[in-house]
Amino acid sequence: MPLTHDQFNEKVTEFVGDVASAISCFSAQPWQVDAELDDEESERLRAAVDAKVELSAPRDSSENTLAQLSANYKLCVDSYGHHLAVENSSFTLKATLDRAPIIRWDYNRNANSAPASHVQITAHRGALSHLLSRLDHATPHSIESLHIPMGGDRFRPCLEDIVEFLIRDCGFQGGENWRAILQNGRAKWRRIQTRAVVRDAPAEAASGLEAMGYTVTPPPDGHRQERTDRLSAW
Amino acid sequence: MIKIGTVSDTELRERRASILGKLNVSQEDLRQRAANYALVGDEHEAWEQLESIAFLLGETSA
Repeated sequence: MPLTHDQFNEKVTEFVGDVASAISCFSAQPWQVDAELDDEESERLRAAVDAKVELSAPRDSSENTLAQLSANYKLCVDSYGHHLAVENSSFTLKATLDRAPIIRWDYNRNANSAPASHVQITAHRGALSHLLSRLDHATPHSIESLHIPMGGDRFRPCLEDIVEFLIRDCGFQGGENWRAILQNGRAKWRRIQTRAVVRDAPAEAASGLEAMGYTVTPPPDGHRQERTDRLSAW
Repeated sequence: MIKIGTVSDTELRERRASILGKLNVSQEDLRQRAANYALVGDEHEAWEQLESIAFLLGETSA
């Protein structure tokens, strides 16, 4: 049965809770998650989730912010109408100074030219610009115009990965119990993605289970076809 | 803090007009500059909001 408005809204509410858990992992930093859903009068099942957390150096007060991490999700239902789906997500690290993106981790389910999941970095590197220039690239000095692939629909990074990167690699201060919260959130995300991958390649999933000793009985009309569009997408 | 609420199409269209009015810029102009990585300052956040509004309205893109 396709999701109703109420069921969709319940799933969005649970999703918002997971986003809040991840972005509240920074120590003593103010955070906010806003979610807006199309009202009952609309036939659309859509929601936009916008999460923000201010980031400061461990030695500074929380008012003295260096950067902001935002996580923006556009949510709808999947092609079967049964599950919540992410149409688009964008995790952005911005400098407080100029409010411009430094790193963007983007996902677009219906990407045309760029890879569905990619990272864009605003940076300057003479050697790379030189290389792009020799290749007649349209914007050799805008490294942010490169869309670096990040694992496609199913194997892309989750918000928990970005938060952990900012704490472990960049040095922002994690809050109490951040590691366990992020590990739990990441495990939940990967279980959801595992189910999605199984729907993409059911025969492969059955074969893997059989190799582990499970007995798998396909439906009477045989295995559902592979979603080669998802498996092969950039 | 978490805020969850529903929004009507009329409210979304009013908000879009308000965002563009504050920046004193047309949506087409902002779209062009977003495509060319030429947004500055508050325009980044404004563009993100316009994209969310377009999505909620069922439009293909902002």
